[in-house]
Amino acid sequence: MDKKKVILISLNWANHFSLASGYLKAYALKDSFVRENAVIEIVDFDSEVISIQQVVYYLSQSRPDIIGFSGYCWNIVKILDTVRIIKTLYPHIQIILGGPEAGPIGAKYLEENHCIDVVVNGEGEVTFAELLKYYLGQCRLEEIKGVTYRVDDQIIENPPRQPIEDLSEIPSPYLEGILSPRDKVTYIETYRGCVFRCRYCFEGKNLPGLRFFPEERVKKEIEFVLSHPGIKSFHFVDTVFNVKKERLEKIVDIISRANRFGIELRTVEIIAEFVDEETVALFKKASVKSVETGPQTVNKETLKNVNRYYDEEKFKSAVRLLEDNGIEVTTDLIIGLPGDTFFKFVNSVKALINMRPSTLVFSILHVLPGTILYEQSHKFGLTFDDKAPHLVLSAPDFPYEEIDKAVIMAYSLDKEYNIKSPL
Amino acid sequence: MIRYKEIFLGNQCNNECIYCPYRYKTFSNPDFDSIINALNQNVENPPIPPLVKGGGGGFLIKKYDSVAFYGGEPTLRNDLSGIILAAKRKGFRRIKLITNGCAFSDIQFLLEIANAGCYLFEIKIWGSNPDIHDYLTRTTGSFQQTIQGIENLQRLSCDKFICIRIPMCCQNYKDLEATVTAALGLGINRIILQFQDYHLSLKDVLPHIKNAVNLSILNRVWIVTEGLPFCIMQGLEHHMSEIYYGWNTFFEKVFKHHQYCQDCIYQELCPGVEEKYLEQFRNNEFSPVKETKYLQDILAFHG
Repeated sequence: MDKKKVILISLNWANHFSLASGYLKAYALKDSFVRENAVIEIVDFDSEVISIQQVVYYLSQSRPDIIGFSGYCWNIVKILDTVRIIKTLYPHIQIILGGPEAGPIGAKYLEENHCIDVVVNGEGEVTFAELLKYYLGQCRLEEIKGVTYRVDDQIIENPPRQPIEDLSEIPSPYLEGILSPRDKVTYIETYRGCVFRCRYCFEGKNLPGLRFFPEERVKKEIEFVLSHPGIKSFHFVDTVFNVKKERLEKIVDIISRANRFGIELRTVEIIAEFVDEETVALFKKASVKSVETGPQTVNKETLKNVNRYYDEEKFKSAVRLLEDNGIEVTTDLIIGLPGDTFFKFVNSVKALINMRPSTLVFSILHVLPGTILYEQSHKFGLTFDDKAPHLVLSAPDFPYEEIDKAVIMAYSLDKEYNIKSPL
Repeated sequence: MIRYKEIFLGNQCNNECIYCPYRYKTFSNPDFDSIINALNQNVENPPIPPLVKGGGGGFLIKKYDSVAFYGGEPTLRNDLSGIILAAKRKGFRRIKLITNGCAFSDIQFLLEIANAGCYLFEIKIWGSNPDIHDYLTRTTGSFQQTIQGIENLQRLSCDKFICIRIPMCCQNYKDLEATVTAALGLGINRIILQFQDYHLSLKDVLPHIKNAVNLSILNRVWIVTEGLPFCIMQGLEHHMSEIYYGWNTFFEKVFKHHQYCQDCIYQELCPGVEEKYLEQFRNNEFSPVKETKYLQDILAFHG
């Protein structure tokens, strides 16, 4: 029997590559039956520059049996356009759609898009491996947890799959030779989940609690990335890099020992309120050059609505402490959160400008599937675009016209505040 | 919002604007050293207590991280690039030039300014065409030079911020929509509509302001007004520059409450209308704001 040809496609942003595809392949190939009967190829496209025609051309040349897509709010439209054409040209190709955009609303995606065969909900490693076994005739679809699929015209939603308890079950895509580190776009994940439960965020709700990758494996990944030629900076994908000081100390120790070439750690997500002198010293030891943090809003009522932790004094002190120690801070604000108004949003802008972070980032609220705000949008009085990227259209005291004005104002302020001198 | 340390670079100008606020003044032109001294005076007084324990006496927090140079016409100084360079070396993160933009029609000069570290520009346009602009600047060819200057700015490959200031007066207010359209066509980042002329009736200019705001927002460019009170700007409060930056500008103006201000919910926040305007038009155009959904938020914004 010929091996089944499987392609995992990721339409990424800014020349990144998909860590998720690496995990899926690494986990699936643990199974000897899959290894013997399937070939898995990972293809990363830059969604900003690649056209649908180019993706279709690539697939028309490689003619896979199965295609898996990682769907996010920023790439799903392009994925659906690609899949529609592929399925028309090659109806036998099986289309699997995973990722946080489609997973939580799999039935909706299947109803609206007949070109999709299966939607994976939640962490995909085990589910994807089982799906491959199903396509190889070794498993029944109705027994696979965490999938939504179509039988004739009926959409079936199997029971959900719990997150993988022991992350050591997932082999490292770097150490297995599946992913190669590249400068500026290499991410390492040391744990999954989030300690916070922000209602606009997917992670806290769907991946509660923290599950850590084994320390020894993290150490090997860091050493591997830091010894790779051409790497000048890398990142961690962890939701909060400084979530626990003890663990931070260990990781910093690993980085500082392995970092022989002065490789920089950039744009790690932190919780500013946990930053003290000791943390800054650790960041410096790990060659952290820039960090990104909230607070998304400084309005108390809004913070309560979205369950976001914010301590103004601690936050302010942390920004100064980091900046004065040469670590660039990027602070984030979201436009359109429930509880905010135009002038409350402007008040948040003022508060952050007075703190003088290196960068101030504005984004408009995306009411993402799988989040509390999506599921309880009615309760929060939110209206939003049903189509990805699910931009908020109005909040109770923030009508559409004023959200639009806030976005335009933010665009102008962004240009003025974040003006960069050429290198 | 972003606060700029404003430094006057002298009274000299290559235009002779009818409404120039400095035209009759005899400000001296500061020399290089006094400008450097002004740049040096940039520390909170007294220094705030140390944030870092054992940090050795605490940080001297800079009062401003941004500086704006204005005149007259600052580009006429032959030491301008040296001043910009000095500001950059002193750690000012944003260096803004408030200019008529004429000098930027010379691309070599513009490159010199940009290379020194200036990427933020506020440029004044008086009209959509040379007839109006040159009449108000009393300088033939100034419109072409300013437009050429802005086009040259757009050619710079570096990151830049361009704001267009449009003063409104009796001679140009009917051209406001056309001027905003022309500015939008230049790919700019913000527009300021400045009420300049106390001989111009607010009632007459208001429909044009509303149109200008709509045009700008339609084209996704932020637009603010200066010098217009809350009672005139009802429904357009978001665009009142004073809410964000206060009523003090380097254009000296004396504001006064009019007869209806005592009944207005904004009376404690709003200084009223330019005194000379009230002398001209009296109170006829004003009515107090009795209610608005924005009051509490705006008051909270001002702490």
